Amino acid sequence: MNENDFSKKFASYLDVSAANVSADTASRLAKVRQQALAAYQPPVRILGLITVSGQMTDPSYVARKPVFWLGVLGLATAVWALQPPAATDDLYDEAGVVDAKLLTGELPIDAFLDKDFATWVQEQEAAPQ
Amino acid sequence: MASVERRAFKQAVFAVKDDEAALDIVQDSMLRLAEKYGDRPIDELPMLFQRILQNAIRDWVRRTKVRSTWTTLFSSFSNKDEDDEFDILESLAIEQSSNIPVSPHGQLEQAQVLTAIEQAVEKLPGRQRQAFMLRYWEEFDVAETAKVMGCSEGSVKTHCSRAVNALSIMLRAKGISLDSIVTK
Repeated sequence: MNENDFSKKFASYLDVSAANVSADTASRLAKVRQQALAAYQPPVRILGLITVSGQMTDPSYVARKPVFWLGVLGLATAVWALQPPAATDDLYDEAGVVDAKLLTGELPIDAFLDKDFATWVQEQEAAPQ
Repeated sequence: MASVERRAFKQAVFAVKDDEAALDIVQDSMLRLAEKYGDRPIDELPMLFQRILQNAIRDWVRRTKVRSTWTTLFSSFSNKDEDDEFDILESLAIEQSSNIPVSPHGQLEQAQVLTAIEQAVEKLPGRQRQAFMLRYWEEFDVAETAKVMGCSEGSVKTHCSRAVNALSIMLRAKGISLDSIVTK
């Protein structure tokens, strides 16, 4: 008997052996299959481009995946990194306005460096209008 | 799935020699297939399932080996008086025999042959058993078997040939010849 014939006969005995599993085991296997089938969801095509597991449409399933939270974190980081630095620009604009006022004002620039300048400003602010 | 669950269970039992562990392995494999590979074409699923199952069996065997190493290490300190000649194969053989239901008289011979066949499969080296099961029981071709096992096609052929040789020797030693048996 060659390898193929032997193997076929042997496999037919293994089939009998598999069919002879105890009733308890058979029912537990059937239950396992039901669980697996319940977990299975048919694949879904997204925009006709890619096919993904049907479970990807279940938010609770997706939320359980660490890769989802990594993606959210990455996206948030990207959004933060790509945001234009508006606040800094405003600061620069304000500083530019102050500089312009100082340079075009009546007082010479050295007046602001004078030791008594701060005292003079306080007096001006305290004086009645 | 219904058609493969019992074969998968038996494959796991042959490898891990524990019904409960085999059920767990089959359950994990089926759930993993359903959860992670639901988007694959239906004709790819049998091979994927086998790959998942074989990996699960291998992981279980590795974990058990590590655990038994530690157990042996610790037990060598405490249980020195126990019988050192305990043979796990003997206890498994008894366990296996006790699982066979009492058959009607006409099926007694077949039950004995089945027991002998199951014991012979259990005694095969892991890779030979894996190759034989995939190739001849699951009826995968050589290329598919090689893919599932993660080895070359040549290795699959070698494993299968050695498995067939070993099985026929083991059966012959028990006075069983598949030539003389009429299969159902």
